[in-house]
Amino acid sequence: MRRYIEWVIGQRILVLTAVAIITVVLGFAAARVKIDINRKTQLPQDHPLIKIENRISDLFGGARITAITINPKQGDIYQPTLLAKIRRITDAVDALPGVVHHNVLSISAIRAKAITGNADGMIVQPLMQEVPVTQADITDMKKRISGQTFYTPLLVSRDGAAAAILADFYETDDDPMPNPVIHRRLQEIVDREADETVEFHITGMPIWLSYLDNYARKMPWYLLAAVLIIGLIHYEAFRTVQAMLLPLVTAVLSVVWSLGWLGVIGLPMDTWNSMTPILVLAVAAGHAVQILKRYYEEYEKTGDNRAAVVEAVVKVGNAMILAGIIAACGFLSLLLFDVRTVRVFGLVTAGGILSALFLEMTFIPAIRSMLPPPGKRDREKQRASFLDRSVEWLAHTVPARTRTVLAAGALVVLLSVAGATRIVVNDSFNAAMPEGHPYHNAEKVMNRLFGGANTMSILVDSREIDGIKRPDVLRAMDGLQDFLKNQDHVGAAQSIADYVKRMNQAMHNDDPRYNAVPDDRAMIGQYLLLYGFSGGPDDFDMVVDKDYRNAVLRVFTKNDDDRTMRELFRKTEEKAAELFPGDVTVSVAGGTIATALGLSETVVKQKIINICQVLIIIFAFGSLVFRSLFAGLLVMLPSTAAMVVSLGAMGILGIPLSLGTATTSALTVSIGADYAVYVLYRFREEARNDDDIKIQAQRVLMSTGKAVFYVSSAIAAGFAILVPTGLSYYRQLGGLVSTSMVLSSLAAVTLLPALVVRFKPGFITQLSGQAAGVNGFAEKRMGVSLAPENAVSTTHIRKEPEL
Amino acid sequence: MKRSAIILIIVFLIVFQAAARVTVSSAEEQPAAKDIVSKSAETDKIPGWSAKVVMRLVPKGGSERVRESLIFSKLRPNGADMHRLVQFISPADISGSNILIHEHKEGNDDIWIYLPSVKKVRRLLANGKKESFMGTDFSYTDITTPKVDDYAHTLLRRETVNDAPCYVIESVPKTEETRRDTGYSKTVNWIRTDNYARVKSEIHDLSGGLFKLMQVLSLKEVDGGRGKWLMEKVEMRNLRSGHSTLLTFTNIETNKEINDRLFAPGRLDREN
Repeated sequence: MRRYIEWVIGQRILVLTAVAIITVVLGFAAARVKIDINRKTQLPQDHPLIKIENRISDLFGGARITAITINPKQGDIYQPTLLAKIRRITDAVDALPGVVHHNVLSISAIRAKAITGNADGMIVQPLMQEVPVTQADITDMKKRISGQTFYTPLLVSRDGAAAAILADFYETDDDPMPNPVIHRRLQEIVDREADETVEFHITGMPIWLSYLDNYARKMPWYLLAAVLIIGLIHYEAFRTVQAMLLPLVTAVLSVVWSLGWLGVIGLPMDTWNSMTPILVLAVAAGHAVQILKRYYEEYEKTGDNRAAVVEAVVKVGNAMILAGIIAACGFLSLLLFDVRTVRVFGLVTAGGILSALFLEMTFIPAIRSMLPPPGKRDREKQRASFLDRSVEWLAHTVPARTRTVLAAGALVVLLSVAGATRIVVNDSFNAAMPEGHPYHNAEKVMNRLFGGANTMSILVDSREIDGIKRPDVLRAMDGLQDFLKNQDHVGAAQSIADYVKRMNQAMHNDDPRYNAVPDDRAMIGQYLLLYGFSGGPDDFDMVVDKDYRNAVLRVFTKNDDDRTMRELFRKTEEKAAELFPGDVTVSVAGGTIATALGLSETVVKQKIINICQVLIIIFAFGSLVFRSLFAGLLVMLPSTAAMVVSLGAMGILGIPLSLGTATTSALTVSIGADYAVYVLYRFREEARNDDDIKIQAQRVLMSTGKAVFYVSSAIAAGFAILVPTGLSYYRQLGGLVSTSMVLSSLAAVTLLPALVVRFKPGFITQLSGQAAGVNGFAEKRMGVSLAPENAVSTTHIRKEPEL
Repeated sequence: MKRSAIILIIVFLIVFQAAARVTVSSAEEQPAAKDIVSKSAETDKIPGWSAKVVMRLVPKGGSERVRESLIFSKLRPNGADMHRLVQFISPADISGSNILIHEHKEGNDDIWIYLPSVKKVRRLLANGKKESFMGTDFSYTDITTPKVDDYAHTLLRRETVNDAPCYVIESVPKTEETRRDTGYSKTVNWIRTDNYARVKSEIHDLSGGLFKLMQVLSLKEVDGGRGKWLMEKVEMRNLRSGHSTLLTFTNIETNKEINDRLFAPGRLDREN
């Protein structure tokens, strides 16, 4: 290691040039990284719910349904000017590229027909052939709409005070209408019609994803803020401009490199990964600080810049490489995930960490050897740091009061375990947007006046052509629909059974007693034929396929909360099993709710698996490197403790385990292990210098402990800037990572040294007295007294009798 | 000198003649567009004919649906309106259903349907020419003979379709009412120069975009060389939805006396 680092310093110009070239190349590659906002590629394709959703959207569309709501400020929608607006908006939406025409629905849409009847038979007419002008026309139109149960409250609110225009967009690989474009185009259409008489809202999954994309696009600013905050924390810790800037340079270069690798591999970034660069930034800065701190220590000892650079890397390098490899392996294990976004996350983070390691082993020693060493005044300023004083207090307290520390730790962990048992797995996409956000307002309107902003689709496969025309199948669909309409949170439901029932009524002189599924299969076929004379070929494409083999029951709900919806799915499955004949397959469910549920279930489940994976990797590496199973356990300790406490706090505070929060746990586990590795390495080093384990502990805390504190403060602060972003995923991620960082660093500087002091593990104690040189003792003492952190003398430690 | 003068005169005469031809042809062809369309409208005006029709409904990327029926058609004494009867043979659920259409040059057509399950003849209200015809990609406008005077016709060019030279004529509705009724802003038709049969149509929706494409894949001359032609195979493709309908006419019989009673609404339930 020493020869290597001396070579690096000797060839520093070459090293710096090489780093500069790599940075430029990877910088260009990073700039070419595409942002993938295709929802489909981000979903776990193997999840049963996603499979159902994919099948439904292949057969009927409906994967990207949006709704524009229009509310007049006065009166109802039955005003000529308003109806004209609805007509223009519908026509404009229908003319958008990528639109699924048969799923464009409004009272003005050509495929929205009124089925009525008289003594002669069935009459099928568009709800709004022409925009009505006279009161008589309006009355007729109202009558047509009110006679069709399936359009209220789907397209018109029950009180007639608002109308909705539904539109759906194809989801293809070469998507001509990515979600932000859908949002923009719909907004443009709406803006053209906006005036003081009406209020418009736009809702639906593409709109939600577009807003999410908006948040993601602000990420560079958050990244900049994180850089500033981390810089300030470092300045607080080291009080030198060089110490503030150099870790940041490593961090920023690591971000560029990791994104560059992504570009080279050809993988796209996605919305969910937009916060990943902040993580890379924080971790990279963390490692940089460890080396920096050691460099200052070494410089204090020798006063020789070049020697200090070499010593710092020699002494911390192994720990850093081990910690980095553990974390990188942890993140790389995410490649086993089903969800591409999680794989990209693992790859970017691991790439960032490995880049940071590489830079710290090449670029930083090379550049530091060229920079002037810290002046005396700079070094003196360090002693005034607040962090230093906190760690000094801990350095005296922890080794002396191990029992208290461990008891307190055990108590906190136990309470947390109790709290963690109350944790629930839950998610709500809608709730992710902050209160007062336009999406929330739109969603509230959809829930208050219409069926609801969320969709649940039930696929009915009759397994035979024309099977959907079977009376028993249609009756079962009708029964299930009735059952669903009576469930809490369900606002509307629609299926082919509605139309068939209405046709039967129409064919019986519009007698409401005949609003039922006929008994004769041929009669149903003939009704549909009859309808075909006036209806369009795609009028029913939203609910039944051309073969009448598969049908979909579309349900609109006012809630997308995982737990509630899971319960609704369960009840629906039970009811379907009761109602449908045995030869018909009913799949519950697709739709936005199922997609969200599938995504969060997969991510949460896989994250939990991932935590176990990472813990096993940490344990294996720790045990292997220190040749001690106990060491493996100790390496796991800070992160595990932090994770248990975080989960406990979530259980107690009622924060559910969701897409945002589950990600956090895997993060903290990987990063927390770094601290333990640095602390244990330092223990081993100090063991060579002093036999007294308490003195070793004190020195460890005063040196590495401080650096751990700096790192965790920087990461915590870096992530804390996500808290005020408004989006719940960022807020939760920011808040929880910050808390977890503080907790794991606390565990690393309290529980970990307390356990070492208490159990005196062989992998540390066996090194005692192996210090080189005859004057080892004196050197050791000198080392302690020279170090700036040893402002408090070891003699101040109150030695406690060993237990 | 003399030789040069002769050459000059010859060149002058050739150029003059060519120019005169261009002037005459454009002067002749401009008004001819309407005549071409009128002649084309006459090609399928056959006093009486019947055929078996196979209707294939082909969704984009989906499996096709097949309906089979018999069609009987008779020209009314006014020489413009047709009476048509469609008897469904398959699929089983609609077998025995009969549709009767009385076209009216002025106003909406009358449509009656007999559904065997209901065992009654029902009157169906036609709601506009732009609606789909029997759930196919053809609208009523597409299957009925266009009213020549309702459109402004322009001969755009001549073009060959399937080796047959054609006039390419653009027909634009003259009134807003026709536009609304048909749902089309314009139609571009390819009409064969030899027999005036329409072989291709590009149909534009109200926003001006290309909406549907009709192609006649096979034509049959009927009625003993009196310039009457019927389509044997015709496809209509909805370019927006990707859905298409293919109609195949077989067993075409013309010059056949078809009893008027066949087209009486009251007898619709007895024809099965």
